[in-house]
Amino acid sequence: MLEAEIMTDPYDFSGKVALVTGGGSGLGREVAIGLGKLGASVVVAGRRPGPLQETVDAVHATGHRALPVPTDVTDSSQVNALVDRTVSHFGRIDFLINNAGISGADDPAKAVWEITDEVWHRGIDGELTGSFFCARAAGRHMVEQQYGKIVNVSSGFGYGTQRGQVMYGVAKAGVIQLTRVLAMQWARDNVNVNCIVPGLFHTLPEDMEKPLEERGHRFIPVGYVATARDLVDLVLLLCSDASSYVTGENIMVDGAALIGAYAPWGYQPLTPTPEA
Amino acid sequence: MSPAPFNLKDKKTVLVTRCGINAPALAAALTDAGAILSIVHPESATPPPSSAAVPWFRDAGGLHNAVSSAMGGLGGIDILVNDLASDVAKPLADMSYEEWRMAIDRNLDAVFVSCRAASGRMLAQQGGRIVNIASGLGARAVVNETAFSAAQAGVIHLTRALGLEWARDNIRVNAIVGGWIVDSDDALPDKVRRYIPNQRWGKPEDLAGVLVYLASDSCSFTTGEPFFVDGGVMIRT
Repeated sequence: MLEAEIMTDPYDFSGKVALVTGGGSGLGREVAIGLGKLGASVVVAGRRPGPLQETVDAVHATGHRALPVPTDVTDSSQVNALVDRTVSHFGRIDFLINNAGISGADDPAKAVWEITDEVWHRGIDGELTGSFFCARAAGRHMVEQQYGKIVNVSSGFGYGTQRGQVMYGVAKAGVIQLTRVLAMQWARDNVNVNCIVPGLFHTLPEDMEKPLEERGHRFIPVGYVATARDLVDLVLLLCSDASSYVTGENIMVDGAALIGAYAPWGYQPLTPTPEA
Repeated sequence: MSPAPFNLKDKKTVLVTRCGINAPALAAALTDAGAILSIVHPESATPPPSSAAVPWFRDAGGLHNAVSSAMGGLGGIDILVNDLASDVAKPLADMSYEEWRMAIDRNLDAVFVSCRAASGRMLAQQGGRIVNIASGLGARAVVNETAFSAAQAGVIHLTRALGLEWARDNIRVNAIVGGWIVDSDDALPDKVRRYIPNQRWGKPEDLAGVLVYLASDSCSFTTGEPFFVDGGVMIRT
C-alpha cells in the first residue's frame, strides 16, 4: 500500500460539510454529533428552533462548527433556501442525511376509504417528498463538484407492513426505490446514494437511558430495541470514503426482525433427522 | 386470454414428489386439468393414484433414471413438477456435516437432477413448463430451520436462474412458494396460525390453481418467478 493511502483516514471529515434534516432530536441529533466529532461542519435542519439549537450546542461541544436552519422539508422553497444557506455559509455540501420524517398521518382507527386526499398527501410528503426535495437541491451541487454522499432513512415498514398502517409504509418503500433511482442517476458523478433501513428503535432520551434489558422487546430476534446509537456508525460509514464502491444499497439494521417475520418469536421446530 | 386457459389436456406431465402432504392435491390438480400424469416417488413412499408411477432410490443417479423412465413411459414431457422439499429442523450447532449434506441433497440437489433429466427433451423440442414447489423459509427464517432455509433459498434462486437460462428455449421455470401449509388444523401451534395475516392455515389445495396456471400454456411470459401462496405472511414485519 502506498504511504499516501496509509495516511488517508476515511473517517477524517475535516473540511467536509454535512446537512442533517430532522436534526433536532433522535437519530438526526446523534448523527449530527457523530459527524461533528469526525470533523465535519454540520447544518442542522428541522422544524423546531429550540431542539435545533440544542443539537448545534452539542456539536459545538465537540469543537466543530454547526448551524441551525429551521426548515419544513415538505416546502421546496424552504429546502432550496436551506441548501443555498449551507453552501453560502460553509462553501460546499458533501453529505446529506435525509432523516426528517414525522408525518403522523396514519390513523389505525380509520378505514382506508376514510383517508382524505389531504391526509394521503401529508403522509407521503412528510416521509418521501421531503427527501426528494433535499436530494434534488443538494445533488446539483454534489454533481457539480463530482463528490457527494447521500444517506436516506427508510424503515422496515418499507418492506413489510402491519395493519392500520398505510401512508408511512408506502412512503418508506418509496424512499428505498428513491435511493436506487438517485444512485443510478449519479453513479458516474462520484455521488453515492444509500439508505439505512431501521427496525424498531427508540429515539427519546428517557428510553435510551434505560438499561438494555428494560428496552427488551420479545418480538425482536436479537432481544432488544435499538437506539439511535445503534444506527449512527452505519451512517458515518456511508458518509466516508471507506464505502466509495457502495451505492444504491438499502441496509437493514433491524435485529433480524424482517427475516424472522415468518412465525412468532419463540417458535422453534424440531424434526427427527431423516434416515440416510 | 391465451388458448384454453387452466387446461392441461393431454399434457405429458411428470410429478416428482416425496409424497408429502402436498402430493395428493398436486396430482389431483394436474389430472383434473387433463394432464397425463406419471409420478416419480421414493421407493419407500406410496404415491397418490395416477396412471403411472416410477420409484427412485434416494441418490441423485436414481432420480435421474426414474425421471427418464417416466418420460419414456409417457413418450415425452411437457410439464415437470418438483415437489421435493424435505424438512429438517435442528439446531445448527448439533448438526453433523452428513445431516447438512443430506438436507441440501434432498431439497436442492434433487431439484437440479430432476430439471437436468428433463432438459434434453425440453431443449430438443424447444418447449416445456417446470414448476418447483418451494417453502417460504427460503425467503425468511425460523430458528432451527437454517439448513432447510438455505436449501430452499437455493431452490428459489435456481428457479430464477434457470428461468433465465432457458428463457429463449420456450421453457418456463417458475416456483410455487408455500407458506404455512398443513393437512390438519392442529399440526402446528395455533400461535403460528394467528401470525398469518389472513388468520388461516394454508391447505395443499391452495396450491392447485397456481400450479395449473404455471404448468399451462397461459403461462407464456412468466418465468423465473417465485409465486408465493402464503396468506400474506411475507408482507409482515
